[in-house]
Amino acid sequence: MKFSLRNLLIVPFLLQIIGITGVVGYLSYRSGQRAVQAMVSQLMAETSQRVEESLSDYIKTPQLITIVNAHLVQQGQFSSTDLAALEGHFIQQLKLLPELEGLAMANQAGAFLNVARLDNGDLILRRRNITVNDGALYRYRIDREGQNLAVLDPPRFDYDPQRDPPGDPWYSAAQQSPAGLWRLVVSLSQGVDRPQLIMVRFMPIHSEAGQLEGVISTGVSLAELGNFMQSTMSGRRGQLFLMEPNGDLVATSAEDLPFDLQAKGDHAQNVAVQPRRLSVSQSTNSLTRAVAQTLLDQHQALSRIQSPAFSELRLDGHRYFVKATPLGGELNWILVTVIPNSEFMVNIYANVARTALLCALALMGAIGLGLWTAEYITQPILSLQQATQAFNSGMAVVPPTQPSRIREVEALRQGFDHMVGQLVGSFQNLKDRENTLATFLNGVPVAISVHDQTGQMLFLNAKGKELLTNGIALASAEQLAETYRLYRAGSHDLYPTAELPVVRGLRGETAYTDDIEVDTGERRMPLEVHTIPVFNGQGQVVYSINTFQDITERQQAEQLRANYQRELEHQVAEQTASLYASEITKQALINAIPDLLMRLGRDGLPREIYNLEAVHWIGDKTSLYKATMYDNLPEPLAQERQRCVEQALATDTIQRQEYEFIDQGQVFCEEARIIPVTPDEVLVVVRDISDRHKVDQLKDEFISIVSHELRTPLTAIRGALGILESGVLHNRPQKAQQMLHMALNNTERLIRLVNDILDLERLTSGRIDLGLEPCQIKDLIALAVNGVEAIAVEAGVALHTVPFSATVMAAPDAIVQTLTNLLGNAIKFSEPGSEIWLMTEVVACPVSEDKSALPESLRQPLPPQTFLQVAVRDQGRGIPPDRLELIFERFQQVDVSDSRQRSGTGLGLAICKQIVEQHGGAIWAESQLGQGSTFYFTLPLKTL
Amino acid sequence: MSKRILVIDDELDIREVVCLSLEEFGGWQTDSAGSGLAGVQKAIAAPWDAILLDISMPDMDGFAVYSELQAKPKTQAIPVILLTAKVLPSDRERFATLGVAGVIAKPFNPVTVWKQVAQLLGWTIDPTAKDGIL
Repeated sequence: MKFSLRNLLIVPFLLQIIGITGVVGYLSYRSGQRAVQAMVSQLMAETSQRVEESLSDYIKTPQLITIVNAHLVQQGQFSSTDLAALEGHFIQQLKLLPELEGLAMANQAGAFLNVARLDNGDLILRRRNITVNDGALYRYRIDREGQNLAVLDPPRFDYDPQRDPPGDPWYSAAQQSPAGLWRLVVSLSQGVDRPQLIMVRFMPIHSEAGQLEGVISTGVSLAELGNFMQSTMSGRRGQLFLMEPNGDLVATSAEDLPFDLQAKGDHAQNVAVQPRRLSVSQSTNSLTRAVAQTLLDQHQALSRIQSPAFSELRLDGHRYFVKATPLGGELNWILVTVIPNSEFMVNIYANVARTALLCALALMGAIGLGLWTAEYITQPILSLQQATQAFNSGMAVVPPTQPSRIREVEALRQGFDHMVGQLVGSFQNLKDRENTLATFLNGVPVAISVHDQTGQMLFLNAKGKELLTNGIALASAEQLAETYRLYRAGSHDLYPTAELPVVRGLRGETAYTDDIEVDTGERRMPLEVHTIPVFNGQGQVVYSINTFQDITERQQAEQLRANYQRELEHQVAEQTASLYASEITKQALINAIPDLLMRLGRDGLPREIYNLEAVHWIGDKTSLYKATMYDNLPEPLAQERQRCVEQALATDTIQRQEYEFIDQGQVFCEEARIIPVTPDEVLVVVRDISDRHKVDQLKDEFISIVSHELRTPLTAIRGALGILESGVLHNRPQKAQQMLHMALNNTERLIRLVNDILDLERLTSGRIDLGLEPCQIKDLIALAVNGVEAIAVEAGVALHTVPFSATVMAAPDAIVQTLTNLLGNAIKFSEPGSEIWLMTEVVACPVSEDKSALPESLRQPLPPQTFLQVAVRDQGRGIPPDRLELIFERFQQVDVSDSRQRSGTGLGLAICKQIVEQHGGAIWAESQLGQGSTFYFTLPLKTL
Repeated sequence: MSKRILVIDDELDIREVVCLSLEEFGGWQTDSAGSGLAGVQKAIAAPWDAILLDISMPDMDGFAVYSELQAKPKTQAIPVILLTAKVLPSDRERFATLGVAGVIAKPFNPVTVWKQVAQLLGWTIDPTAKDGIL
C-alpha cells in the first residue's frame, strides 16, 4: 500500500490532533459532568438547605406569634374572655408580619375572633361575640388600618368554634396539645364559597390555675407557603414542593393550588380537610406528577424515603435533578427539590461549546499548521518528485526544484539537483553518444535491429526501416514472423519462430542464416541475417542484435557466378584434360629434354628441378631445395653463374654460360642458359655438352687430321712444283724428274684421299641410297679378286677364294669396294710369299670364336635370320687387341706411317664399316699379333 | 758462315722439299730425320743453328721432341721452328704456349721459306744468296 507523503504527514498529524483534542474534550466533558454532578449535589444541598431553613423560619414565625399571643393572654394583657381587645393586636401583627395568613382565638365561652388577610391586602375580620349578640358569627371587611368595618356576609349562627370542623374539631385537638399543635384546617375566612386550606399553629391557653381559657392560633396559607417556596427559588427554574409521606401535596412552588378549592354546600363537607387534599400524583403540574411517579418508581412508597434521595428524570426533552428530603420533626413532610438540568448545564454547555469551539479552533489551527507544515515539507520533495517524473518521462528540461528552509530537505534538494545535473549531463552525453551511435547505425548500409528478451524490437536503423516497412511494431517473438511477413525462402510458410535468428540469439546462440525472405508487398526479398546475443553480468541474454541485408543482388550474382562457374568448370575440365594432355606432353618433353631444368629465385634457391640426372651434379642431392645453386658449383663458376642470373633479371635477356670443370679427375663440359621468367625468377637450363664437346673435339681432330692429311701431299706438291718453277733444277734434270714424280705421287694420294673422304661422308650422312638389289655373292667376289689380283701378284702374295653361291641383297659396287678394301689391306700387310684366303659361309647369326670380340650390336639376340658371312684372312703382322675396334674409325691406322708406306688413306675400314652396316650386316676383325688377322663381315641373305 | 739446319719430319717428300729449298735458296747446310727419336739423336750429335720440327709424327710427335730438346742442356738453346700442317686456331693456341721461335704452316712457298726462317730467327739475309732477294 502506498501513501502520498502529504497524506502521510497530514493524516497521522490530524489523527493525533483529533485524538488529543477528542481526549481533552472528552476529559473536559467528563470533568464538566463531574463538576455538574458536584454542583448539582451542592446546589441541591444548598437549595434544600435554604428551603429547609426558610421553611423552618417560615414556620417558626406562626409558632412564635402563637406562643407570644398565648403568653400575652395568659399574662393578662388581653382578656381571654373579651376577645375584642385582641382585634387591634391581631391587625397590628398582620400588618407587621405579611407572611401570616391570619390570627384567631376561641375561648371556653365559644367566642371566636379571627383576622385574616385578603389577596389585595385588605383584612377580613370574623367574630363571634357571645356576650354581645346572639352568638352569631359575623364576617367583616376592614382596611389595612383596621377601620371601615363592612359586613360581608349574613351572620352564621350555626358556627361553634369548639366543634368546628365537625367530627374532628381543632379546639379539642389543641386542648390536647399544651405545647402547640400544627394542623391543617379549611378556612372560610375568605368566604364560604372560597374555602382555603391553611396550616395553623394552635396553642391552648391555660390560666394560672391551669384552667383552659381558650385556644389561640396563627395560620399560614399553603398558597402563601407555595409562593414563599417559589420565592426561595429566587428566579431559578425548577420546582419545590412539600408533601405528606402519604403523598398528599402540602405546598408547591408551581402555579397550581395544593388543595381542592371547590366550595361545597354542606358545611361539614365544605370544611372537611381530608377531601380537599390533593395527592402529588394528581397534581395538575406535569412535572410534579412526573417527579411523584419517579419517586414512587424509585422507592415504591413515599413513606420509605427516610433520608435525602437523589434521582433524575427526563421530561419533554429536559433533564431534571430531583432531591427528596424528609424533613422529620413534628410535621414529617418531604421536601422535594426539582431542578432542571438546563439550570446547571447552560454554563456547562456553554463551557462545552466553548471547549468544543476552542477544540475546533485548535483543531483547525493544528490542521492548518499541519497542512502548512506538510506543504512546507512536501513542496520541495514534490518538486523533487515532479523533477524525477519529468526526468523519468524523458522531458528535455527538468523543472527547477523548490528551495527549502528545512536543512535536511535543502541538502537533499541540492544533492538531487547536483545529481540531476550530473545525470542530465550524463544523459546528454549518453544522448549525444546515442545520437552518434544512431547516426552511425543509420549510416551503416546494413540493416540492424535490437530485440529484448521477449523478442520485442527496440531499435531499427534506417536501412532496417527500408527492409521492414512495418518499422518498430509491437510484436513478441512468436509474432515476429507474421508481423514482419518473414517466410522461409522459396516457400509460403512463415518462418518458424524457434529457428528465427532473433529467437536463437535470445537462446544465447550466435546465428547466421540466409534462407529468410521478407514480403515487402511488392516482392519477396531474400535476406541474410546474422544474430548475436548480448549478455548481462549474470550471463543472461538481455538483447539479441540482428544485422541483415538484402541479398537479392548477391543471389543473382551468385546465380550468375554459379552459371559462370559451371561454364568455367566445364571449360576448366576441358582445359584440364587438355592441360593434362599438355602436362603429359610437357612431362614427356621435359623427360625428353636432355637438360637439367631449374626454376630459380633471385636468392639462388631452386623452386623446381627437373632432370637432375641430365648433368653431373656435384652437390648434395638430398638437400636440393635448401642449398643455393651457387653452392653446387666450383667457386669461379658460381660467381659467373650468379652474375649471369643477375644480368638476366636486370636486362630481361637470356644469358649463356659454357664451362668446363673437373670432378674426380674427369672433365665435364656444360652449357647453362639463364632465361628470365618473372622479375624474380629465372629458368636455368643446364646441358651436359661433354659429348658434344667430345664430338667437337673429334670433329676438330678430324678436321685437323684431314687438314693434315690434305696439306701433307699438297705441301709436297707445292714444294716440288715451286722448286721446279724457280728453275734452280735446270741444271739437274734427274732431281727435277724426282720432284715431278713427287708431285704426281702426292697428287694421286690426294685424289684417293679426297675420294675416300667423299665416300665416307656420303655413307655416314645417309644421303645416298645404296640401291640394294639381289646379287650373287660369287660374282661380286670375282669382281673384287680381279681388281686386286695384279697387286697381289706384285706383292708376291697368293690369293685363295672358296667358291660359294648365295644371293644377297646388296649394292654390288659397295660390296665390291668393301671386298677390295679388305683384300687390299690384306695384301698390303702381307709379306711376300704369304697367303690370303677369302671364305664365305651362311650363318644363322654371326658367330665368333671370341664372343667378346663381337661388336656391341651383335651381342644382342637377333631375330632368327640367316646371314652370309665373308672372312678375309691374312698372315700379316697382326693387329694389337686394343686397336681391333679402333681401326674401323677414320684415320685410325695401326701405324700412322702406314698411310705413307702402304699408300692408305686411313679411311678404308671406316668406309667398309659404313657400307656393311648400311646393308644390315656387321664387320669386325680378329687377330693374333705376328700370325695374321681375319676380317669378317656379314650380309643378310635374301629371303625367298 | 753457312747456317746448319736440322729438319725433322716423318714425310720423306716433305723432308726433301724443305732441305732442297733451304739449301738452294738460303744457301744453308741441312740434315733431316724421319722420326722424332732420330731427330733428337741428330740434334744432340752435332751443333745446330736451328731445327725445323714437324708436329704430326708417329711414335714421338713434335711436342715430345720439343720437350726432349728443351730438357737437354745441349739442345736447350737451339731455336726450334714448327713446320706443320696443323693450322687450326686450337693448334696455334697450343703452339703459343710452347715458347718456340716460330711456326711456319704447310704448305709453304719453297722459294721463300728460307726468308721466313731467317726472319723468325732474326738472321740477316745474305745478299750473296742465290735468289738475290732480300
